Amino acid sequence: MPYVTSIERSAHRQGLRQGIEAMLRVRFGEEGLKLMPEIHAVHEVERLQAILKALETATSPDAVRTLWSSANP
Amino acid sequence: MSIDYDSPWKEALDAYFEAFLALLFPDVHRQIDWSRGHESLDKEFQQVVPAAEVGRRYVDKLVKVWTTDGVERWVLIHVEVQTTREAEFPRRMYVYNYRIFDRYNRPVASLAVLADDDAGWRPTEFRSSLFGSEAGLRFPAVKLLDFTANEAGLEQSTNPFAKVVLAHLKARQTHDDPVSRHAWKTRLVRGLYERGFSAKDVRALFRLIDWLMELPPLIDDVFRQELENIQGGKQMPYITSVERSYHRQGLRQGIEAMLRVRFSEEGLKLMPEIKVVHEVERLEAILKGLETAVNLDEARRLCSPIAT
Repeated sequence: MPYVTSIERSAHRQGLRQGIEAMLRVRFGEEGLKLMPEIHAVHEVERLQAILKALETATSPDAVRTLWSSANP
Repeated sequence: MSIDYDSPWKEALDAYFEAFLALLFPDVHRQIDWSRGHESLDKEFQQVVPAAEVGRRYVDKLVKVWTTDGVERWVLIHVEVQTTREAEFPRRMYVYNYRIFDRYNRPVASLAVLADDDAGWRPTEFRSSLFGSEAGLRFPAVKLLDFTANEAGLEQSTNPFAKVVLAHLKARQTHDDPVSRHAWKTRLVRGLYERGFSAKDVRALFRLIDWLMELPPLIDDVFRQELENIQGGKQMPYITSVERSYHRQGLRQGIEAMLRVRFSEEGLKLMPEIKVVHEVERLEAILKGLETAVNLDEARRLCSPIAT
């Protein structure tokens, strides 16, 4: 089983969050960026990847929010 | 925090077998001619372990060495981390010792590392007797808890395995205390630089310490920043150079999503060019530029290898 170190996971999260931030700006402008504090509280790489993917087609910031608010109440 | 201790121990034994014996079994270490090297006998060991036992989480390692008087000898290491298995442990040592003796017709030295938290559990033998007939095995055993009295010595030591043992002890002590674990983890990693370990050792030992002393993700991000500071001051970025590939990977995933949203399938044709960009800063600039690129041509220019 390959082991990914903590700092590698942390670096992966950073890259994904940068991508998510850019996508939020492009899709929803300043309104979208208001989600960033919540994005910083998401730590699972898989979930950040799912958020990035969902941002391609989401119709509103609230539609994206359901991706973590349901699992992280 | 539930932590898998077995996997890092396996890796540590593979990487630092000589250092392991020097630290924990110095009497054995002294009798071995290290100039002849040593050899892991993983295949030979698997031959004597039934399929049903493969995949169970034990740390067992069979190694071939040569003694100072030139004789090939086999050493079998058992590390026991979980106290829940304790009753079975001496029996398993006896069984594996006998199986190797039977299968390969040679004696094998069985050595035990007791890495659990029960100070009173100190098996040194297995006995089986019936009607005056006796069989069994007596074996040297080292209790890692005993090293708690000499943590300063472990910290000062230049033996790489001392770092593994200290990380193990600290991980057990800070099981419910992430703040204290964080402090110790930082201290141990800083120590790698201060003891003057090679770049290769720093990377390997960092990996083992990191594995044994897992932190909550939020603290990981802080820890990573501190690590940059430790290394930045020393101009020895042994550890964080590896992490950059993960940063790149995250950025490329962001760029891919951005290309699809802004330029759909046509945009995705730029991905092969993105995959050969290796500078984090350049990928960040591409991601940023793609937010406002007015058309596909501009996007293509951003991603082209000659863009500045």
